[in-house]
Amino acid sequence: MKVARSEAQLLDLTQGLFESRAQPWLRTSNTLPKKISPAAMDHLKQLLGVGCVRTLVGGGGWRDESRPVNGAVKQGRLWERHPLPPLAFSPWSYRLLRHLLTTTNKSALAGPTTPTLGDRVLAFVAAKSLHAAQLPLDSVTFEPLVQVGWHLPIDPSLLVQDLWLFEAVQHDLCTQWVAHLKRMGQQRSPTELTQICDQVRTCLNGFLDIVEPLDRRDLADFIVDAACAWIPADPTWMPALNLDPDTSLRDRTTATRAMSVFPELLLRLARGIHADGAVNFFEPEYDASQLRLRRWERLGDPRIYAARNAVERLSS
Amino acid sequence: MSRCYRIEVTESLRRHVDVDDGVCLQLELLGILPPERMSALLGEQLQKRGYSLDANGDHRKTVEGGVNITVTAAGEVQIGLSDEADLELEGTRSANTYEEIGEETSKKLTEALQKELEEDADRATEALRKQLTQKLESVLETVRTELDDAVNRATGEALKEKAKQLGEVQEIREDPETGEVVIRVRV
Repeated sequence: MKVARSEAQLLDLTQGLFESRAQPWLRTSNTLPKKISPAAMDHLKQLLGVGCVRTLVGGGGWRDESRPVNGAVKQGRLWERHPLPPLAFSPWSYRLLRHLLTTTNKSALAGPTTPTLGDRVLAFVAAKSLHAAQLPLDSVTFEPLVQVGWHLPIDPSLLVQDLWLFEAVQHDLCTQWVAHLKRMGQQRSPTELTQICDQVRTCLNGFLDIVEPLDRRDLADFIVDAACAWIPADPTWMPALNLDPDTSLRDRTTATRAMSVFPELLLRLARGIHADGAVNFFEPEYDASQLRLRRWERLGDPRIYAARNAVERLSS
Repeated sequence: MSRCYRIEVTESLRRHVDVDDGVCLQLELLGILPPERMSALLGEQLQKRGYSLDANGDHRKTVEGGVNITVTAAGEVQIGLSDEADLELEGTRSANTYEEIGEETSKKLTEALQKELEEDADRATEALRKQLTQKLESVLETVRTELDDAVNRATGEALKEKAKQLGEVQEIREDPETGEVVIRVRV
């Protein structure tokens, strides 16, 4: 198949987004003619289709696991648990790729009017690459997966659509959150750290406020997994802080207290789990409760004690 | 033939700055007795340590370096330090120009100089704030230890009172160093 040089760049960028190697294209601005050839478009469709399926399957969809589906517990892989909609891309996906290839600052791009499954997955993988290239995520912030992954303000109306998507990206979300938590610990400016912690509080509490009433606390597994990686089973643990000692004591104290946000979220989840433990085996919610308890066990009591102690010490 | 003029601008800046820094802590008082009684016992301990009770029911003390400590009846502690200074800064800038009046050059020089003086004033304010923070940090640990000790002693006194309510106190052993209290009660 023959394509123009500029089209080849677009195709390489697209493939690079799914393979986490798109940064060189994102950091530069390239030219692309107004229209691309039918051959290049066919190849682009192929790349997008394969890339999105790989992202969903490889990110966690392949796991044979039990998850609550319409009030019952269903076991199987992602496509066995849910009737998946057809993978489609709106013209927005092409606009996004074009925008990423041809602009330098990757400024804001209006989101799609009705995002398709393909648009949403592409937005998520684009966010990963943009973040890795230290570029703004403005062009993909409409997507709830991005909002939850990068502690942005949440749009509840879009989040509740296709909630199963969160099942497929749990591993990616966990990786992002572990990295966020490490970066928060390295933050020098107390005011910036306080601001980030406030964003984290608003975003993750907003997420839990939506998924808890829907009985989908399992979608917050990435918080538990990130906690497993971040909090050691040591009751004397405290989150690492690297605040500038020349800043005011008031700002540092505020930032230190704000850093309790993540352990506090764990304690919020722990309260829910406590309620699950009280569900009797003859009650209809028993299976779902037991499922959540099994998932929670990997965190372990010592980590919960560590989180509780940290919250107490950080706020004293 | 045009002549070269040298324009010199002198500006001064006077600014009164107030800087402050501080922290808020919450004392953890166990609910051994009703809150009012626990608060009163803590107040007694604080007064023994030089705190004075004000009209609002808060205990106040000023320690080394002018650090103010306020303990409210609810156990909230505010440790703060403030300072003020009058900054007087002056600067001069000059430039060569071919304009006889040189209004434009003079305006630019004045603006640049004012900006520089503002920045100098901000730096001086920040330096003052840093000094204040260092002073505060140097006494913070001592204040924390003193408050922890006051809370421990108040808790010990509360335990003694509670023990008396429970039955006949047979023995009270107290370690003045650590504040450890052992009470034997016959119920």
